[in-house]
Amino acid sequence: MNKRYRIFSLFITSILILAMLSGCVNTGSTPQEKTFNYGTMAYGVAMGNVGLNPHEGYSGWSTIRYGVGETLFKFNESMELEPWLATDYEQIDEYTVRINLRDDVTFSNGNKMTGEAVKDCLENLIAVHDRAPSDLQIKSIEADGQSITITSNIKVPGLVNYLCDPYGTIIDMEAGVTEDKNVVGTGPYIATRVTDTEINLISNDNYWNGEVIVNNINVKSITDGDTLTMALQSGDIDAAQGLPYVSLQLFQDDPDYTISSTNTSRLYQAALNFRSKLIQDDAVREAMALSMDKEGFTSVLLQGNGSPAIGPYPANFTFGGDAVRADEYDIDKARDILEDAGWIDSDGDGIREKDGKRLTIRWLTYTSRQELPLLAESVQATYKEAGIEVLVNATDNFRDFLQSGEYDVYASAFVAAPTGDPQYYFTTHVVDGSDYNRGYYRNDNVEKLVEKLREEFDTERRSGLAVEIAQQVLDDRAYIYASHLKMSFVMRNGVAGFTAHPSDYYEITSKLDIDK
Amino acid sequence: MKDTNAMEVSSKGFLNIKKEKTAYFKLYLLCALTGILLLVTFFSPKLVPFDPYEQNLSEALQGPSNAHLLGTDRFGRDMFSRILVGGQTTILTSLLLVGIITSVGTAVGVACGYKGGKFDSFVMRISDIFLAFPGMVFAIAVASLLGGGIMNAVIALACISWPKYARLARGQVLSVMNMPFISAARLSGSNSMKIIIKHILPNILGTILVTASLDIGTIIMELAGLSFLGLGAMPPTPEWGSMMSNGRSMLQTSPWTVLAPGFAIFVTVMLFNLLGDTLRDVLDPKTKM
Amino acid sequence: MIAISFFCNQHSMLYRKRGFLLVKKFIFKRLIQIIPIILGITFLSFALMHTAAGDAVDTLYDSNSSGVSEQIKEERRAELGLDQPFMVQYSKWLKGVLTGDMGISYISGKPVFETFISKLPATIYLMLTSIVLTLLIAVPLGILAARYRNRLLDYCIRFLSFMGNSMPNFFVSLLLIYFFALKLKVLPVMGYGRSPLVSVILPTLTLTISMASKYLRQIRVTVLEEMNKDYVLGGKARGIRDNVIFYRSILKSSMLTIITLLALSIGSLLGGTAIVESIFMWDGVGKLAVDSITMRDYPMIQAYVIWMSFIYVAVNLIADIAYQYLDPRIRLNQED
Repeated sequence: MNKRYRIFSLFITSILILAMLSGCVNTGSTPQEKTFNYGTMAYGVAMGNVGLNPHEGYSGWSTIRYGVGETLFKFNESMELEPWLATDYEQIDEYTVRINLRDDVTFSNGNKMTGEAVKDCLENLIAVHDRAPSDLQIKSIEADGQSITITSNIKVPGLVNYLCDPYGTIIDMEAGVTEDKNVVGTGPYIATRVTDTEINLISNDNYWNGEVIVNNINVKSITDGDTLTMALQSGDIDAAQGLPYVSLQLFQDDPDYTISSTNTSRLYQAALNFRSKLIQDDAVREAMALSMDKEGFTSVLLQGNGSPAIGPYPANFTFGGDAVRADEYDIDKARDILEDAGWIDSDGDGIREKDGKRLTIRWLTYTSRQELPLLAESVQATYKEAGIEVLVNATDNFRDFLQSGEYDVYASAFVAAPTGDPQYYFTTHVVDGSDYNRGYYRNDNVEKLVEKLREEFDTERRSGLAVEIAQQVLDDRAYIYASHLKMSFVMRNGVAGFTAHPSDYYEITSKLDIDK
Repeated sequence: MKDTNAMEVSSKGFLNIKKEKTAYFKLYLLCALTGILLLVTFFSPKLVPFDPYEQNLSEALQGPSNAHLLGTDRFGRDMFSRILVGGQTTILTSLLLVGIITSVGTAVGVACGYKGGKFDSFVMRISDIFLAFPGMVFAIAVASLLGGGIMNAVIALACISWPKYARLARGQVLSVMNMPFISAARLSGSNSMKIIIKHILPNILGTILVTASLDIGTIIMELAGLSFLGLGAMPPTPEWGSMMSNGRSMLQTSPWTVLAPGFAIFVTVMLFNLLGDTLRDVLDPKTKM
Repeated sequence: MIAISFFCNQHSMLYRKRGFLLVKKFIFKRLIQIIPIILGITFLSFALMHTAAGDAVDTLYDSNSSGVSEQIKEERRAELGLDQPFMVQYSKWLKGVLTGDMGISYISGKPVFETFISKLPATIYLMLTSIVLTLLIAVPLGILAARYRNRLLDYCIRFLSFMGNSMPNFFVSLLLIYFFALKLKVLPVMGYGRSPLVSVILPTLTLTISMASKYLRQIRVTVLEEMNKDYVLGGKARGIRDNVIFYRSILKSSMLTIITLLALSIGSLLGGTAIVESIFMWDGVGKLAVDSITMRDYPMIQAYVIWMSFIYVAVNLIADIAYQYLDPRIRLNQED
């Protein structure tokens, strides 16, 4: 053997040994301090929520999720409003609302949260943010001691709901935003370091709402599902969010881990394109709705991490779940309907034809949400049993195809009611000409009902309208709703106070506790 | 064209006379094995025990058993059948890709090497652009432009990979050009095409072929890499690289979903690599004269 | 670089002086030629990105599955200058670059150059460790395989290279993490946060395994070809021991090809780090590139393309110069 070679290999081995030894040095916290390491898929450049400035893009999600900031109101498990930094609100008239704030809240730097401070924060929000101004339609804000009065340009029944969106996080405008996008909020934790891939937090000793138990938190962005899984298994992290479905199996039966799951309003839906001749055939649409195996999709492919959807809203909403009726999985019925409508398999290849035209559906979708390609494949197989051929086009480049109109179905993911209010979904998906109405659907009755919804302030009546509109959409079979996302946190035993919330906004709270 | 005597003389010391005969034997053996692989691949749709596209959710993620030799995937499809048919996609696609790259690259390289001058400079600059361009960006961009799908992945990879062969071929041609028999052929009045085909090509083909067969493995890997990034074969088309990418998360829970295609790739890559090596062994004593 | 220093002093001063002038001319010509290459590359990448439908504004909002009106999107586009025609955008960008301003990231709003430079060291670190480890493994093993051709050692080494060559890097990383971090518990799963020496091990191993397998075969082939050359026969005829011929002359000549191959492969190495960086959350330029492409962050993508091409061209230039020094025949033939 070459002498040089031997020397080199010795050199490398010693480096490796040195490295391993240095790795063994504990870089953790001091023994009395509690540290929580948290790995998540949801933080990162690709999500547009890097940094903690709520007035920038989607970063407000990070501010709330990681315990740095809070909003005026928040949602409970049924997505109903609850006081948080505010105590209550009064609808003075259809354009004005007055919000009363708590008296005992301070920002983490000691400054008191007053009406003025909230006014400054919200004014900055509508000055610089992209989505907030059109949602809130604020004309002016007045501050008076511990309350503010908001006047709107138009009637906005969901205004207070919108303020629960993470962009409504109240931050201290006096302290402003630092260069690394850190802010001063009212939450139980303060960020010491903010980067594209990691946030380091320490406890806020001035927190207004109770004692903060954990001293240090490290939020790590891990975008690879398998790395995240193994990081949790090895103890590199204490809890994980966003694990791939197949990995959940590893922890479900393991007594050393706990899983906290919840149904969210993130919806997987298929929009049927009314500009396509095929889709205009009522029988085809009905057969398609009957042939989607939602149970199989959620229980097997998603391994139980989803609930079959009936309408656009999940069961924990009063106007969601089985408040509406949709077609149930029935292949035989689908076959019959197609036969009766003249779709016969004349050449015996398993796919039906009519007037020389083959029953082929072009299914357009994208891949950035793992569920969508799975749904497409599942649909391909079940539709085939009914005699419908599905050509899947799952591509990052879906916008090209949307523009050219070369699709019969567009399957997408959408958070149907981020603020608990039903209006948002309808005005974006179902109204003629709306931005996300990929199927070019139009129904005059629906148009009328949505107009009524825009003006209705009473929550119960809003609920009723929501049910009516959703039912009409389902009867027209303009959309087929596949499932709602079930979101889970997996944590090792010893972590407490870390629960999943249907809104997907709340993760780290003062209730968090860990045993080490 | 093999000069057995010269081989014996030069083969003392490092090479063994006996080895040359084994080299031929190995070559035939490997060719036979590769042939069998290709045949099986070709006829796989007829050989599969199950329909590789048929989903059976109640049988999803079952381990290898008597019914399903290699288990089932998350859709309940038979892995063994999918591996067989997937071979068609993977092997044929890589062979196609390597074929394209080799022929285009060699053609360009020979033209450049032979013509020389401004044409050579210009084309080499273009190939430099493709070589220097970060391959991944290009592949993702082209594949995103054209949409998903195996064929578009092939186009993307072909665009990035041909310069390597052009360079290789050009280098080989340049070294051959300096040989006296080229000038002799020129003097005697043979036209360019004849010279290229009769004298240049046979001498460079060896290296090219060997590199090509070794590259088949790399190409399969690159296809797999594209699948990992979400490009490449579209569902439900079985393709070993995308099967590995999809099954990756299940290493700990259902390892057969990722190990089966992995093993298939391993066997294929090994076969082609051995073939390339043996080819080189056989062709090499064929001197560059 | 090792090769240059190692072998340079073996040439006479005379050779060096004459060669040096030619080399200077050569370098100058090549530098000139780099400009159209870089221009071509940036134009190509700009064009590619723009032809794909969906720009930074679309991807930002789509990734959050939320409904944003077209109006808001248009406003944002105007802010970023995305609504202007292609050539206008390109010339604006080009002008900026020539004055040293690589623009602002569409996604983070921070200057592209700063972000890029801050992440470059991580990638370079990973690349260097991978190259070093690759050479340490591939060179000796490749040589051994050639030396003991068709014997057991050769087969064993080749078998290892088959394994390395047939496993996609996303799979290798999976196996490595599984064994070292989960089963043996000697290494952390990921992280740049830990001591850099430890956290670089797994990503380096991942890259090394695929690279070393490839180079091993190349080196083996190269050495084998050298072994058949006439000068080897001449040496043997003169009675010089096999070992001496081997380690002196054959290695020296093989070095040339190895360097050229290495230089050519820098391009794919730079690309290869992207997947590995994403998996291990290694905050380098490769991960930045993947994120930027996904988010259609044009200024960042352009920066990546320029830098990577530049590095590639620079490395190849150095390799070519080394070639000049090491092989006088090439130098004398250079009438370019």
